[in-house]
Amino acid sequence: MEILLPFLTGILFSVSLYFILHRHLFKLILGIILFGLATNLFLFVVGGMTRGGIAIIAQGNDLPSEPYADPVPQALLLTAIVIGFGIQAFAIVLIKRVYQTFKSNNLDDLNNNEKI
Amino acid sequence: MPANQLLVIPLLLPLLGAIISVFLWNSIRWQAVVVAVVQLAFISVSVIMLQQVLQAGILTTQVGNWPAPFGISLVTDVFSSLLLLTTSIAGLGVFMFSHTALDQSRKHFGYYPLFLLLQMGVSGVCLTGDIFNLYVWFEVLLICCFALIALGSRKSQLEGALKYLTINFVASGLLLSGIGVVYSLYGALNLAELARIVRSDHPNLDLLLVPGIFFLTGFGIKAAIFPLFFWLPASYHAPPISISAFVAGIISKIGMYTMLRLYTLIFSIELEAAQPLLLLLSGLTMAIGVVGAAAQVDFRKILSFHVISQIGYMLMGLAIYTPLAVAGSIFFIIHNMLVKTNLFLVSGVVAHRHHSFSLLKLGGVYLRHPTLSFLFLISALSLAGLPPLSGFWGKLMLAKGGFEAGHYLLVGTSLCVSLVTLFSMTKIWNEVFWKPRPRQLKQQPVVTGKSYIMYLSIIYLLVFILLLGVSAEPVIQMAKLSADQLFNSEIYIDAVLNPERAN
Amino acid sequence: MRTLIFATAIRMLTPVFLAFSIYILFRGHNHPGGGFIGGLIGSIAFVFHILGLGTRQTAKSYFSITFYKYDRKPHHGTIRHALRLLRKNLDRRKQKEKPKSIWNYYLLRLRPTYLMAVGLLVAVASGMVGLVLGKPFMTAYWVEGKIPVIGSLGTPLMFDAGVYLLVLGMVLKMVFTISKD
Repeated sequence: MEILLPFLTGILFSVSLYFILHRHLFKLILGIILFGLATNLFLFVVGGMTRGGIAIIAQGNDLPSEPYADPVPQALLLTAIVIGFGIQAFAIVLIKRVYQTFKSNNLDDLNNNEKI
Repeated sequence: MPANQLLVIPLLLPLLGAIISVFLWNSIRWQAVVVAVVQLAFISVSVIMLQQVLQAGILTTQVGNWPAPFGISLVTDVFSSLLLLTTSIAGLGVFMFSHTALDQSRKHFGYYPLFLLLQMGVSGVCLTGDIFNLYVWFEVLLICCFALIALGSRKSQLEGALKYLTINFVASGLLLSGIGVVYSLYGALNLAELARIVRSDHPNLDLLLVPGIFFLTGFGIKAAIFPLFFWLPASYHAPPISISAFVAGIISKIGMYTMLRLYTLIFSIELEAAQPLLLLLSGLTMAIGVVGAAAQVDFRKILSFHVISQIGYMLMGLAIYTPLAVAGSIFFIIHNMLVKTNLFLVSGVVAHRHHSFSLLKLGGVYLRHPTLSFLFLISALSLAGLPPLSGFWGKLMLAKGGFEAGHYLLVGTSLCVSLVTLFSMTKIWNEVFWKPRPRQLKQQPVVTGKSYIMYLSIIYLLVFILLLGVSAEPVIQMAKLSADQLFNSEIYIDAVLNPERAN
Repeated sequence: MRTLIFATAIRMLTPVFLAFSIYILFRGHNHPGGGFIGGLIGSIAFVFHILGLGTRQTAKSYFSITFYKYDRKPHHGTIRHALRLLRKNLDRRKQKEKPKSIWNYYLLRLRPTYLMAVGLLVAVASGMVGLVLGKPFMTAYWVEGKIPVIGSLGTPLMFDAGVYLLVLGMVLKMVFTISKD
């Protein structure tokens, strides 16, 4: 199971980069969302995966009972998800505005719209 | 309030200002009052903080009262205080300009709150002592940047914002991955703790290159270093001048600040291996920037390409990596923040008076507005680095540092690039101010507003630029002091991790 | 999605969603939950309401309030005037009578941006408590004793409440922006 996750991260990264490089606007949204997911998964996998309990110290003990999962990557992940959520929300609104303004979902139509 | 608590004020001031100005959503006039008060308070707090740091050394506070390697530290040394002071000075100038030049509809859509939140992000990046919080503050800063660039939804703005957003999102992903790698290797996120681990004999020390590459690429995109700069000229010229002045003047240097901080504190050991690469990148960044600028015929685009070229100079100090060269970089960052902001504002006034940014349509400005031409000339010559203006001292320190370290090729490149910068500035001078005015049809005004406030903001910034040039000595001393602090990271580690000093 | 069944059901379910989201907010101290998740669940309530009844209806029923007022007539005493105002604003509100000519009304709109600002303010205020008491910013303070469902009260809970409002405001801002055409 654990050996699968790095491969999954790699696949997600490559798929998301393919989508980001694609000229269709909707695929750009998909690419941005998938890239965020891939980063989060990478953070999770690289932080070390432990099959264990929560790192909350029971009453009367000095240390949490082994084995426990490291809470720091989870906290980082949570923050990263929140930030990614904000950026993705903004990206979706922006891309919708682009679509409305340019009346096109092709990124190539955006070039050189304003002559100097 | 003890001196250490001063550290949260640069974060709280803009945040509270932004909240208040959201509550005053319908009254732009009161929003402007709030922003003005915040700017003045911000400048005074930065001055007090710099004073404190010069007297008492590095200041730290632990947010949430958790001890250092576990909690969130805010740290300030001379470097970050200097940078905060510069951004606050430039912020007031940009605010004065935008107060009159920015159109009402953009102000109605929340320009002032976004501007303040952007400033909060800048102070967050400067003050944080934690690598993950660095990422968080960068994102705060970037979201505000996206929103500001897209504010008003003109076609070119949307296009610029889309490019900016996509490339910077990828860069942030790389940074986040780098942070994950750092944590998995060393089990710490606090910068001082990481610096301590890196200087001990940790078993994973050989792998420091991996996060180093992640950060180099991530910050390389954000700071627009050589192969990764294409998004910058595509997006910085798009928004109105008040926004692009702040973004181009301040934000692009923040990436450089972080690189200087991280690469002296954490990746300094790995730097020896990466030095040839950094030297190459800095030379190419400089050269490509000016070459790109030479091909442009838009006032703002020329300036945007020069942003890239000057990023190369800042990288040069890091690549040479001697105290003198790093001090030169620091001086150069401070000088460039003020000068670049000012040049953008000048281009705004030219467009206000002559309705265009294009070098082909402009001309004869000198005949009609000699004062403006004079203001431009001082800023431009300062950018090009003519003595005794401020750009000269930064370049002198960099060149001297380069000669002492024996990187003659890079120093030669930088001097050549200086010459081309001068050429580029004279090109603007010739085309915009000197040549006869081309006959043209009547055009819509591009920038509107009261001109005396615009002039006031430019003169205000110019006073600081001239001060920086004529009496450069105190700032050079402070830059050398901050470079010393960067090189002697034991001071930093001790200030943050020693429980007696960190309250 | 605008079927009658969905619309009717969602009108009743939205308060339930909201109550649940607030429960999630409070239990976040020691269990899964907290401000961010609570705010997302709370915003889902409004998103469903928008799907079922449309943006305008949602804005009308949850994010705006009408205050009625009229100039006091000379033969009406101050107390009578106040009572009539109160009655009109409290129990006559539901009757869909058109305001007669003497009645004016204010429309008070709650923008999602204000919600975000209030959230930020609450979160900052929770940090300021420590600063005022001479400790570093965001030092946690707890009230002694526990309350049955809510748990213990303290500045971290206040911070979470701020995050709740911020997330709610952000999602609503986004949904309102997207659904406006």
